[in-house]
Amino acid sequence: MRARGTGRPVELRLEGAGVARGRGDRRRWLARNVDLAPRGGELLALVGPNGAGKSTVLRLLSGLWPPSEGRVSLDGRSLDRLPRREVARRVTYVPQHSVPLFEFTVRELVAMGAFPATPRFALGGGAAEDRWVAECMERADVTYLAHRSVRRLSGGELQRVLVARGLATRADVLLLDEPTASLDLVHQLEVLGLCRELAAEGRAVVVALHDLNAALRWAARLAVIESGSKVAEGAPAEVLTPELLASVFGVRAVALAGAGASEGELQYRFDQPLPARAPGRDG
Amino acid sequence: MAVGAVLLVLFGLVGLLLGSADLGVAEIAAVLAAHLLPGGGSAAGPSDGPMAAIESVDPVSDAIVWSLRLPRVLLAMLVGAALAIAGALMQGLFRNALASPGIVGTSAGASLGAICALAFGLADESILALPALAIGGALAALLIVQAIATRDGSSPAATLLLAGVALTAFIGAINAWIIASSWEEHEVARRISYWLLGGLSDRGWIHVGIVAPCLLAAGAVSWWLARDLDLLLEGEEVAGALGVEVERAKRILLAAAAVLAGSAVAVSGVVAFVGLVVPHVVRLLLGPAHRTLLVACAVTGAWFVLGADLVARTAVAPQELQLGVVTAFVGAPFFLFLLVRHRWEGGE
Repeated sequence: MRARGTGRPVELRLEGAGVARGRGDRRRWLARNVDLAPRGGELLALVGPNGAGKSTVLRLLSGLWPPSEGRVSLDGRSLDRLPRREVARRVTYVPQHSVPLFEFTVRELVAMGAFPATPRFALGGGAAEDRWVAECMERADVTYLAHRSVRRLSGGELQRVLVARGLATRADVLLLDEPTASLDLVHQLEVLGLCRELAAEGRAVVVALHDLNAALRWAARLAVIESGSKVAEGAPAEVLTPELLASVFGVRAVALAGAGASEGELQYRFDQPLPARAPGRDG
Repeated sequence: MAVGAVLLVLFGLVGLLLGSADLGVAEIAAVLAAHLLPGGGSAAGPSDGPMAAIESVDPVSDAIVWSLRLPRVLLAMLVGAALAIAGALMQGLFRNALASPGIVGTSAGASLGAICALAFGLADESILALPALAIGGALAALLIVQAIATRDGSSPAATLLLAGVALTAFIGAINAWIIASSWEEHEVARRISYWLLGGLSDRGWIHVGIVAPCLLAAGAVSWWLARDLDLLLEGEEVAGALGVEVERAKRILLAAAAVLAGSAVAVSGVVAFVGLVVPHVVRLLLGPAHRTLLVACAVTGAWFVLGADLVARTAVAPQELQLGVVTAFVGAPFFLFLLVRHRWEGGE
């Protein structure tokens, strides 16, 4: 197994999946009736307003939140029936980063990714694990940080370290929640570029994004989530029409002609909210 | 760490040397040899030559070294190790470097068990009553806290913590009530107060026999889950995403910490501050990875309580200070010193 994908076809799919919280009258759906299937070799972007349920969909896909309705399956088997370690070897979830509390070194943090693949009774991964961790750090370009404390990293560095940890699981499906949030431009480009490379190597990469132009530029496929449901899916430029942007995001989108956008690339300029928009159901 | 372990053994030997009765190194060596070397027992056997000297061990020295000092030295180490590991587990589980071993109510539960044993005279009927009730109290407290905090099979750390704090306060009230009602009987109240201050006087091999298996079993289980614990430091969601069975790991580690804290309280009373300060200091020095941290905590905790007990025995000889007084008196300023120095060196 190399740092490039293992080449195993993975079939991870949501079928009519939803998550509810609370009981009785206070039951509230965070996501409802979502069908989604990431494909190997493809960068799939989830977009939608804040609180629309992008993170919920990612957690459903990762198996961290069992579905309240519908089904989440990996190669035809229900995800919540599989042991966590087995799921973690196939599907990895990189949560929105927060400032780490404990002073692990970057190497230690990346090595955590090897946990699901390391037998429980092994004292440590040994030389093979060391080499694998080094390879994953190299892949995400964080080798020079190996001995730095994770509390002393910039946002972009930390995000790349978290991606390296995800790689270290050897998973073929990478789920990333807002990997570019709070990053400056250079680091956004770096992280999304890395995501697309990882997809190009055969992995299925799913990224929740709030930057629509970034989604247009980097994603091969795009799903729009609104109020916990998938309202559109397809090629980015076909899905993100000015009409959809107006109804889902409440903005007026003006396509930028020419100006830096290369052959056929679609980018938008967004203008003030339309006055007639109904209040969103943020949560 | 190897250096620490060697120092610990040497320190333990110092512990055997010090005490109100004046015994020399040779006498102590003779006693140890008589008990530990094969054929060195008191029974006359074919033990001529080098073994001959041992048979002349003075029975008083033998009693002091073998029945009083050695179990006490061992007990100090075991209690220190147990408290430090329990503290490390709690700090890891709750991702909070200021969590103490008893934070989920286990220390309070153990105290309640012990106080009941003392107040209702059970402790006089059997020497095992107090430790058994203390360990039982710790586990019962944990079960109550888990029952309160668990919903749909998951028990969020924050809820566990709050339930633990509330239960600690509640049990504290019961403890205070029992003590207040037994105040008329001076002897009982005195024993309870002394016990609450923590100490290792009048302990014997039976107490070593209580805490040693608890430490070995719970320590081994904790070390087995050391990598799970590393991942839990990154948050339960990350741990789950990377393959940890979060709820199961939490249950096992909480139970291990309850056994450790309960058995320590069972044999030594409430020895303050060890479980808080030792893991914290070791983490500052060696980093948070638990494979190393847990072992280093065991050694350092053993060191710390042994040293504190030596101070307790010798500082105001022939009287004794209470062990819990010494650990807090020494530990708290040392902790503050480290904290301040760490700040100055640019840490946070």
